[in-house]
Amino acid sequence: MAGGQLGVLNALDVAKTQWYHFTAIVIAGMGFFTDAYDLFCISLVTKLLGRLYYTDITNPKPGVLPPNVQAAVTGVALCGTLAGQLFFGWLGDKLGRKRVYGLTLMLMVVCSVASGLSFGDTPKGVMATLCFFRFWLGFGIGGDYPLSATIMSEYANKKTRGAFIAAVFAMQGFGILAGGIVALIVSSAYDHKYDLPSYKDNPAGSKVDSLDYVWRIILMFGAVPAGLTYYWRMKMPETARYTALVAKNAKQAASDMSKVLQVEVEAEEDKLQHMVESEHQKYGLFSKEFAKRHGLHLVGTTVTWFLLDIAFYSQNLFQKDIFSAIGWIPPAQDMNAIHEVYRIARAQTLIALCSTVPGYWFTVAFIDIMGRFAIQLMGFFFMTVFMFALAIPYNHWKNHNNIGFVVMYSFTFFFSNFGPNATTFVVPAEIFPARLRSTCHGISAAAGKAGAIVGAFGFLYAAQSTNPDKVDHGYPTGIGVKNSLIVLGVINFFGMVFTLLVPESKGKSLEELSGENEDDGAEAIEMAGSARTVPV
Amino acid sequence: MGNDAGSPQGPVTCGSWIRRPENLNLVVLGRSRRGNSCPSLLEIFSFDPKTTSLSTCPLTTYVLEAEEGDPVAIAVHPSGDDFVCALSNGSCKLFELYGRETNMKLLAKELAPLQGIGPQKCIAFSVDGSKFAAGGLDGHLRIMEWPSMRVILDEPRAHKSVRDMDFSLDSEFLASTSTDGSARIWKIEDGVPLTTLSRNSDEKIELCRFSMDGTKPFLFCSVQKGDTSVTAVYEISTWNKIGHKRLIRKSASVMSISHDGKYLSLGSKDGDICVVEVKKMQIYHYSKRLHLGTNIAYLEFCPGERVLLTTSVEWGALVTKLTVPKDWKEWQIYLVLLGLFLASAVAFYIFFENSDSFWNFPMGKDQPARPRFKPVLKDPQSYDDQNIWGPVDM
Repeated sequence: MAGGQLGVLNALDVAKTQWYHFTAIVIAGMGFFTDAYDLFCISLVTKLLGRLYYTDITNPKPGVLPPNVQAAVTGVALCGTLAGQLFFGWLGDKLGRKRVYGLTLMLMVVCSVASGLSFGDTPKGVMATLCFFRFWLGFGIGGDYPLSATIMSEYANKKTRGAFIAAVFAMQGFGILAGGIVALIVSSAYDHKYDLPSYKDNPAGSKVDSLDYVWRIILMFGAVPAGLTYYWRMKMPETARYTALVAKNAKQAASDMSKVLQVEVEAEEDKLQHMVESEHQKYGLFSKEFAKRHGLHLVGTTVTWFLLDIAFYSQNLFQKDIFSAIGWIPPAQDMNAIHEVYRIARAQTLIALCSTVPGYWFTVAFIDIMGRFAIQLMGFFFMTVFMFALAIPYNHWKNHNNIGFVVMYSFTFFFSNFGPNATTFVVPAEIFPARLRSTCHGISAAAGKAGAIVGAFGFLYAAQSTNPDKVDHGYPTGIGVKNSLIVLGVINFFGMVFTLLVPESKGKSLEELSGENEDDGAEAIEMAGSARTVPV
Repeated sequence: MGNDAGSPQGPVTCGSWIRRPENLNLVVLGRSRRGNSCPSLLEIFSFDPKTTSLSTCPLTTYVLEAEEGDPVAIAVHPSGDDFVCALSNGSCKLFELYGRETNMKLLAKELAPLQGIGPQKCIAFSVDGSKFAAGGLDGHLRIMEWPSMRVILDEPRAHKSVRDMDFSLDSEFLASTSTDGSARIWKIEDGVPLTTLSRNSDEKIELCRFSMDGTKPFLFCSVQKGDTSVTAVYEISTWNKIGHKRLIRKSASVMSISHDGKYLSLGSKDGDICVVEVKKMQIYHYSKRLHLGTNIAYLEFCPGERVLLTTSVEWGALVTKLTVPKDWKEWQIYLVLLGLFLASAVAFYIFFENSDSFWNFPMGKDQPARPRFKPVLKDPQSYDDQNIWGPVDM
């Protein structure tokens, strides 16, 4: 595929002229849509949970979840995701991935619905049940995530593979958007139904019992996209592909087969055998040869994904706290419970609509023009710049220009998605030798999930104010929002540094293995790429 | 079903599995005429996976007219609703399967483009059911779209005489072999020959099957080298031979791939069968003289079970359960997952019972059980009701 020939319009034309490809994009993308909805909708309702179950009306502030409960509710799904990835990865190797796909989706449907249910009506029972089913929802998401990637590679045709994969991944942004929209609809409906006073005016009257349904409806709605995905997936005809050819694994497959056969000694065969052997020697993951050839690459992909997800998940899960800290969302006591949900949902939806989703589609448009390396480097760079631009003059933004803060903050989301969020997913699937590719991609993805857990749990504590009087009930003092943003900026900077360890895979991975000469060409490109990165 | 000797039925000449909805598998058998008292037949049998046997009586039977000749080859459409039968009079007929298992009927239809084309050695559908190919004894090769029957390829001199052929998994290629030992690859979309498989002068490529595993883009060929039969593997991106291995001891007469691509099976001219795991090319099952001393004419894996259907003119149709490692069943997966779920439920419950301090409720252990469930259609005055109690709480 020549660089620049494929644009968004061309991809859309292809999708329009072939209904089948469009269907494949929707079905493959629904997995990511569902994952994003389920993982991030919890951030919309944690404030409400605090108000409903932890309010002491003698306190001038409304109730909030204590730090350990907040961490448990928010992060337990991420722990489930990690466990699910390991379990379903093992199961997929045993059974073949397509058979497992329906299982993960059914698990997601059931646990989405169950998240909205409770055993008993005690606050303790409600919170424990929520954590339990959020864990298993994450478990299903962990299984679904790599399988969506597999389906992408199976259904992509060779011409539009890069844009296709990026478009499918971009559905994640729509999932986040959908979460905000559902929360807006539900909270608006309740706001029209009840005209409640603010907490400051009437602590007891600022909530009604039926507000309990708000968070349950938002969580249970996650079953709808999962169910739709399951329905469409089962209806889709089984399309047979030689995935090894699509994923450029033919040589690896041939090499594996040649080990169990008698290989005839012929001039041409000998040359092919030599090529296969020279490219895929018998080194394992923990050998010196791997460390020499790909050790830095693995460090690069693993660390960049880890660092990205610290920033990405902490921003997505706790942006409401940042908005409150700078005053874009009023203090909690100035709102009733439903207003708080509405304001949080509106803020997060605006960010998703103006920054996250456009960032994804910029990646779709440019990933095969600029290349993965440039996009990732640029993304980390601008995330670093905007983080420091927010953090260093933090007091100015807070006191004089909170809209300016929001605009700058939006850019960090934009360049997160027009940047490392997409490329950290694509690159590990391309640069490693085929035999170790799934293992290395799994290691990198696991590092990403570990980063997500660090982000989810770490930012929660760090962002608390250094002033004990301003700290939420039950929290220890932290380093404040300003310093937390500085830390995230430093993390993004290191992400940019470690990006230099990752080679560019735009040219070589998409070339077709159609002949000896092109093989030599691809090999030359690969060697050039390797040479470029090794001295760094 | 065992020895046909003495029975009033003609010998089995061909057969195939038919995959039906709800994991039901049927078998269609073609019988040729014997004398004047036994006409040519097509019979449909049901398959019982518990006993690994075919039903004793056919679900339905179709009698072929004398001028139609005998069934020579059968190709079942992947949908399982119909199949094509090549007849010895030089035509092919389409048969549609109607009704449920208890009330099954066969309806015959003529296929105009396949009338009077001469005896066909092989007929086949592509994996997605959208293409149909017929290879004749006269070496004429035809590829058509299904069901429109638009001609994609019509090559009268493709081979000296077609020996075997197979569609690739992605319906992009057709491989065909000839009785003179040559093999050709056809590009289906364009309807043109792509290449000829390389071989030594003493080698004859007889059988060919494409891999059904998407991660293994190979073509498996049975090659006769002098008196030895070996299985060669070609890589389909370059059509170079990767290697070969001797699997079956006698000359191979038939070859088949399981539907999930895990196993390759060979049948010999002496009645042996062997089943090989594709990943390691190791023999996992060998039945010696399953059809004693008789050429195995047909061999195919059951779509959903590790069972082989084999036919020969002397011994009829046999179903053989394979001694290969069992696959995980769906219910076993659900059981593992349910076990994990229940174990974590127990762990959560223990934590729940011993975790009062974790939840850190602001009013301590006696936190009121709020909110209670009440009807959603509550009157907006409800918060006024709460105000009544406000002063009391204060």
